[in-house]
Amino acid sequence: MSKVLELSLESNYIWMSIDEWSMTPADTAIMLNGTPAEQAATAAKYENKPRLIACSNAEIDSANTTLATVYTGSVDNVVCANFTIQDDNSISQGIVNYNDGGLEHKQIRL
Amino acid sequence: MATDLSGLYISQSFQNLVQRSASGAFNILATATGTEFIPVSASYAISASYALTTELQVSASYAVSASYALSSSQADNSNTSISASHALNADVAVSASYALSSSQADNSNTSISASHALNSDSALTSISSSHALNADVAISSSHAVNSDSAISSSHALNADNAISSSYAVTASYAENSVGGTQLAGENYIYVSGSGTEAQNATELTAALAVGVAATPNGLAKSTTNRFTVVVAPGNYDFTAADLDWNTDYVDFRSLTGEKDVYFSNATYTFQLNTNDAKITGIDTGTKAFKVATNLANVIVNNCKGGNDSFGTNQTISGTYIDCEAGGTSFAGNGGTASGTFINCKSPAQNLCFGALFGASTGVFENCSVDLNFSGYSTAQGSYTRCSGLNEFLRNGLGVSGRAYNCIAVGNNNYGQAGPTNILGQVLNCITGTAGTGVTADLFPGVGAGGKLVNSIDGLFTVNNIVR
Repeated sequence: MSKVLELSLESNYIWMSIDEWSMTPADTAIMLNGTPAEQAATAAKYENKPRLIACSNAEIDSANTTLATVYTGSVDNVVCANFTIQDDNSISQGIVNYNDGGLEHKQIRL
Repeated sequence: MATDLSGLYISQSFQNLVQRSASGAFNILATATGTEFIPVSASYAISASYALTTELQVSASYAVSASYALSSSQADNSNTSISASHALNADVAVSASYALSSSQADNSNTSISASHALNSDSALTSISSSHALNADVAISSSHAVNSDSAISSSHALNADNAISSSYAVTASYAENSVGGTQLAGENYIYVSGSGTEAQNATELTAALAVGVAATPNGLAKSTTNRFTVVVAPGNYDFTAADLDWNTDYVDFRSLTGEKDVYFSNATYTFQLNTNDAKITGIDTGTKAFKVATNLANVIVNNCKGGNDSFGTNQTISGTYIDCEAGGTSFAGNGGTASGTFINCKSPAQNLCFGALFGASTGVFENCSVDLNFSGYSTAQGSYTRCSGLNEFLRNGLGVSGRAYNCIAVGNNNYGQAGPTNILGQVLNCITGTAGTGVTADLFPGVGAGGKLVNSIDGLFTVNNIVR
């Protein structure tokens, strides 16, 4: 079962796994069409839910190795890197977004 | 026991025509002079050299209108014939060398107008048959499988040559077929969309199968050796499952380039599930245009879907251009919008582009949603000429966030909902113009390292703050 790893400011520049959760359909409906008070109450239920969870050292090593093959800039300039990692720790696809001072972020795709 | 019949009328002496054996059993018929009599309309005949209108005959050399014929050399209008060399209007013919208008012909060399033809050598052989299987030639059959040549069949599968069939799969040659895949080349196949909506879907599914199996120019598909399914405008009704677009280097292009390939089923829709595909011109109506997670190399152009389209809680890292969707789209329900989004919009909608506690980290150019553009998530992407009404980047810009030439004329924009200080860059942007139902709004504060430059708030104050 593959999963998506992320390296970003949010992950403190440590590779972590994205937990792809979403709101329940009922809560999503409130966020789309509810009153401001209902939306605030519903949002409060999720605002502290973690989006990223820890991954294994082997996964981290594999992601770092792959990142080094496509991006040689400062990790501090990385806005977000999303890599898909397979069960055998191979990286199959992904993207590196970085900004080294330009107006728009630059992107590298594996 | 021959009898002298001279001087007698035929009616008086008919019973005497029967020649009997020594034991008295029925044997043969004869004329008055002893010549053998050829029977007409006999109910049962065995080994007769000539039989006309018999109900049952075995091994006759010539039979017309027999109800049952076995091993006859020629049978016309018989109900059943087996191994006849010539069968005309037989209901069932097995192994006949020639069959005309039979209801079923198996292993016949030639059959015309048979309702069922199996393994016939020539069905010019099979003309106007309702079902032809493994026939060398099939003309006007309603169903033809593995035939070498099919003309005017309603369904042809693996035919070498198909003309005017309503449905053809894997035909090496197809002309004027309805819903057929007659137009194809090394790197493409054309879907005509000229059948019913369900037939169109079947045709499209078959075309995808051709693309999946294709080796264009004799080589494996690759980024530079792609296969394109060109799809004509129309309704495509997938009645049992989503269309799963699941193979790299197989592209989907609407014929016109417009969003006019409609997925018309109320439930089933299009699902993009491969990392490297270019998709153009799909409209899934109110249903989601589904995209699997982290397909970084897909390019989706000029497509439209309902809520939860182009990812909802997935990581959306590909390129999306001129796409339109409903609410919670573009990774809008806890997803990660890390790809490129150009001219993408959700008119009168809410919560898109990495909204609802997801992540907005990609490149956004000229994109819009009325409410909650990246709402409830920290904006870390680059946003150029993007727009909204209320709650545009409502939870503020992180240190990587870049907003240039953006317009959000309502309230609670750029982090003002919190408020949350701007930690990234906001340049040449507008917020909170007072109007009907909208009060004049201000920008939030600017945190360390943040920049709010040449940006106009609802009081028409030009803000220039660099920390």
